[in-house]
Amino acid sequence: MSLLEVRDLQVHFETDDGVVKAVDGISFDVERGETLGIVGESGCGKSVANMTILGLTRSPVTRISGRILFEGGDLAQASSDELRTVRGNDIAMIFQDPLTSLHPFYKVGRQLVEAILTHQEISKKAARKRAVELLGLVGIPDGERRIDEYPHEFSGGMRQRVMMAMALVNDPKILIADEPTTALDVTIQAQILALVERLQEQFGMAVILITHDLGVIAESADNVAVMYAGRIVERGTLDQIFYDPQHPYTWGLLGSLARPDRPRVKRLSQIQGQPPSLLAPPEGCHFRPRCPHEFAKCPQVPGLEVRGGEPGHADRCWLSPEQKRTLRVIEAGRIGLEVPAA
Amino acid sequence: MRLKRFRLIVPVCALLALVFALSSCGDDDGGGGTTAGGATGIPDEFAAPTAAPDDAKKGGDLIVLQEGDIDYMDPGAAYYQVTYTLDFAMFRQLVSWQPDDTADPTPDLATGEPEISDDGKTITFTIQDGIRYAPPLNDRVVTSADIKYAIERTLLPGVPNGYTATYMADVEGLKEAQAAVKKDETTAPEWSGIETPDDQTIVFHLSKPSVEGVLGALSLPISSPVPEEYAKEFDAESPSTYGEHVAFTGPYMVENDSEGKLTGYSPGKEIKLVRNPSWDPDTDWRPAYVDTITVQEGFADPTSASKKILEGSSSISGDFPPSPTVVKEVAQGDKYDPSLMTATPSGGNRYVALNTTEPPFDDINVRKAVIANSDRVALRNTRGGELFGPVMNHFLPPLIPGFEEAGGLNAPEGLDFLQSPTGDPELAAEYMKKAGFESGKCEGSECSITMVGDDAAPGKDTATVFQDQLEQLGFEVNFQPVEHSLMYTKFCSVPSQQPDVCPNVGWIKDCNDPECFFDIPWYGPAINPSNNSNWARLDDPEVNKAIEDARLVTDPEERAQAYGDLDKLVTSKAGVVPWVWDNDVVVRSPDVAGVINLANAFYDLSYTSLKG
Amino acid sequence: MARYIARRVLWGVALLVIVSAVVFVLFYVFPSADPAKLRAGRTANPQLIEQIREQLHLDDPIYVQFWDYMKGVFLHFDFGRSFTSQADVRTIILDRLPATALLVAGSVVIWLMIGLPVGIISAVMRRSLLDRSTMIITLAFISAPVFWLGLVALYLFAQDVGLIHIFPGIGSYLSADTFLAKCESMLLPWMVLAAATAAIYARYLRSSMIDTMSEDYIRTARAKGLPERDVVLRHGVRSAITPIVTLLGLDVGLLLAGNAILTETVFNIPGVGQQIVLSIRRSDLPMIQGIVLFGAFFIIIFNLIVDILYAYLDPRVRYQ
Repeated sequence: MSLLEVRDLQVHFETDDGVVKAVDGISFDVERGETLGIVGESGCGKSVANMTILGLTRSPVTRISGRILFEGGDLAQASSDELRTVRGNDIAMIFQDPLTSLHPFYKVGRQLVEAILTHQEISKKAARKRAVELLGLVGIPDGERRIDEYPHEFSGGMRQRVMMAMALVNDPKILIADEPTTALDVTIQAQILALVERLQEQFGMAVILITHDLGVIAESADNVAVMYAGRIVERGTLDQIFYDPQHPYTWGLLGSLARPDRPRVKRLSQIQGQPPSLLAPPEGCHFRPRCPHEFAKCPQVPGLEVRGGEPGHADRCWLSPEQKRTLRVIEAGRIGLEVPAA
Repeated sequence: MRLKRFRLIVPVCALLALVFALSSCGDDDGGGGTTAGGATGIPDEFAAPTAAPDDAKKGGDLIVLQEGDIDYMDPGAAYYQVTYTLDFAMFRQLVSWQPDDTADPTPDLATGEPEISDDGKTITFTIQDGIRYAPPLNDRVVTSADIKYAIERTLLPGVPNGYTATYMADVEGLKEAQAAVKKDETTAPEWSGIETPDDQTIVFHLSKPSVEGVLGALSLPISSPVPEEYAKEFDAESPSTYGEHVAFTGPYMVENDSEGKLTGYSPGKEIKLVRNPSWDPDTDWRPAYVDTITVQEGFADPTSASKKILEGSSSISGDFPPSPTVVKEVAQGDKYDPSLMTATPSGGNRYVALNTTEPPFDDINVRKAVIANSDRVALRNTRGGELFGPVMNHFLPPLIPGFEEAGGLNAPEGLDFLQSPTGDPELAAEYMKKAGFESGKCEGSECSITMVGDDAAPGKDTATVFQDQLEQLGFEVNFQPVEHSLMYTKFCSVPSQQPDVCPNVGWIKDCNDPECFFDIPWYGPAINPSNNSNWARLDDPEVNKAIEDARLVTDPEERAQAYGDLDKLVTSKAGVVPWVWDNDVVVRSPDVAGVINLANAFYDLSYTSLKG
Repeated sequence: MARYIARRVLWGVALLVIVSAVVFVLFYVFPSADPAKLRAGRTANPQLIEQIREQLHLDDPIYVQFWDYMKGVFLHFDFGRSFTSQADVRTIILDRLPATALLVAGSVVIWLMIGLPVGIISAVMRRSLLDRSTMIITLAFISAPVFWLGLVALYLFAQDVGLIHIFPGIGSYLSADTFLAKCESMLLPWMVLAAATAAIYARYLRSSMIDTMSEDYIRTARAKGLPERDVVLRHGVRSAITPIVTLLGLDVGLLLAGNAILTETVFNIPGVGQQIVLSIRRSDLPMIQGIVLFGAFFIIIFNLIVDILYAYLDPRVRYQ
């Protein structure tokens, strides 16, 4: 049994304009120690899905269905109190903007200690000691002094390290990292990713890495789920996604990726158009309006099935495996795909 | 400048026999006191009681509610009806006013009526011996020199007195005394016309036989004794700080400390009067029933304040009239006894002044048309209705000699334009035709007129009602509302700035003699460039001469007749639209046996008592 | 910090001088009744008016009057004497301050005690029936004129003129001798003065809370597993309430400066606001000037307090 099993998760928000189907039936597993990358444009539901795991999207206007199985319980059904014992304890989360994610009025130490004392019955002094230790662990030197500083006294990268330390205080089994590097400089990004990887090994935890940037995942993910408009459109191992992408949307994502390991293409391509409104998404395949290869079958909903890929590599595209291969070859030059020898 | 606020009551003590106020009240003795009703137009149930009930009790705290403060605690500066109410209970004057005195004051510090020399130029008073000041000056006996000093100090710039120099102008040596003040502003000047041959005698030497004016002034708080050696240091400051250390002689005093500094007076807040332990009832006619008098100030809403009194949680009203809603409620008699409310003629009148110096109102026919057309009942009702006074039909108000001779409550005979108090549009049209307006309505550029009036109720209501009435006659009125005191000081009292119509002016008695009603508001030569009070700007040779002649009449009956005739003459000139003879309306708690002082038109604190 | 405060205090003094200069100029530039003529009365001859003008020093040039006044205020703490009653201005203001201070202090407590919880609860229960009805009620209180609200309160609850005799009525402060009796007489005024402000604070805190609760750090706090109560009170309110401190400082300063005019007038509380109404009506420049200066002083002081407090509350604010 997997560490975390998400089954047919739906998260709908009732608004004055209608129901927003932010997450519309997704399923995935997270194994112990693995890194799952979830990729998609902003607004595709990847953050909502993960916040729902922790119950952070609950509100009077939210409708949640499906199952989130974790250690024998269903988090989707859990009470607020039960969820709280999981949050920051078994499952921790770090966010995109480390400046706004830390409370500006409280010293870093206090925020760390608070996280520890919420879940552990130890003395304040011990908690503080543990906090200093963690600061060291995430690569913040002189923790003893810096623990008494305010968030605004830290640089962006350092703040993200603080966030990381805060997530790790209770030895979580899963770390959900929601765009952890997006707000940071490129050089810092690599450091943070390396840190995540190091800590993952050190703590033996699973990581769900949420990003819009396939490049971030390329270094660290074991498995990848590609999300589009509330649905997972393709799922497989890192290699399967990168070297045998099945869904035209994945092709598009790959095409927009700057890859230093490949010869420069003339121009990075973009996927034309905008993601659909989640209030009224198109029938059938959600990617249909933006897809250059749309055909008669597309208005029917394609299931997430293994179609042309290896076992375990599923996608939601009606094109036949042959068509996919052919079209991929045609687009290869443009999007810089490596086409495996047929 | 506000009408009904600053006033001077200089009654003509000498010899006036015509006291119709008293003649009409013998039959209304139910409350144990006499009242002023009848000829004043005030319904009996609201007529003012002027005597305490026979079983009036001593003791208790009388709580007086007021909107504003008194003007000055210093009796030398006081010039306000509300202040007088207190002053008459705190200080004793040479002569003063018993509740039902309307013409003659009664000797107070004086042992009796003054001796007046045959040539009418010397007045001699003898004062009582052994009257002492309130603590801390309780060892100090009042002497005639104290009265002399009290009057002299009012010439100091630090003691802002509004009337000494006017009404005592004929006391010899005023000019010299004023000149002395110019040189030394910190010491009260010697006034040579006032002599004190011994401690009990004070003599006034006049340059003209104008005894009446001087006697009138002496019945006011300026003749309240002030001990020179005590007051000197306070008077040396400018302004004088004597007001914070006043020496009392009346039955009541403001609470003070051992230095004489007043502790019971917080300006705008509270005045706490207690019994004056030095006061000897055997020397005074004031009964002084209550033990303490607390004046609470700052009650800005007359409705809630009046109700507080009527419900019994305070005793009497001070400077504010009950609001129209309260008046209606009390008059109905369901909730409150109507006798809790009384009305007293204030000796004031209100009228709309028309500027007679410029078109279109330089034409008497246009003025008559405006008066004939006016619904003066509607104008009067903007102040709260009948109780606040009868519709004014000529100039002299009730209780003033000459009132009856001029027509009483009715318009003088023969003045058709005043016959209908609610207005006579047909007559108005006739007068307009006489003035050359064929249609009976005003037409042409001169019919576009200006009006400056109050910007707040009730004055503003009066102004807008009158504006409507003018418009009915075809006038095009440009009405500019301004604050009441600005209306006077910047517009209506400044001839160069005067609009065609001033709807919110009026005159209140400076004295009970009819002379005071004409010398300033109707005498042509009195028109002056800044503080003008002849708002109609009528400078008519016939009127001027009649005013000069009437002054010389001395026989009381003849004098009343002369002024009644003068009143008719002035009224016939149609310079103003007369609309109300003011009453002062006050309320009391059911626990209070209220007595009104007719001369002051307010409660008399020395006669009012608490029941039970 | 000390240098900062010193600089602010100097600025404050300069501001006071400017404020009094402005009042002086306004008084003479805009049409107000001539105090000398007002005092002289209607029988006044030109000499009397001149005499009064001289005595009040109104005949000096404006700048001389102003200079004399400033000297008095800053060297002797002397604000002159009233044009009308001749009473010492400082004495009157100091005499009236306690009433205003008690009125303000009590109503601050009430409006915070009501406004803050209501704002927080409304924000947390946003869009609920409770929230919606609360917001309608607060709107009603904000739009109700204080004068009207005061009179309604009196006619409903005052011991003398009220329908139900519960609270001491109009003018009861004047009769109160003990501190307790004074507080009792303030009950209605406190509530009336607090009503609108409590409503304003509730709405302000509500919207501030709603903004705050959507901040990333609130999400972080929740992700930590903190109980919702702690998330709201420790993380949400802590931020949302900071701007309220500014508002509070300003409001208290303004009220002490005489902004409680209407409440003081309706209930006849002998405070500073009531005095300024009287003084303006009588064109009593020294009195107006004195009250404005005291008022400006309070506003400046409370602004300084707010700024210092702000530095303490929000560590991002740094004073060099």
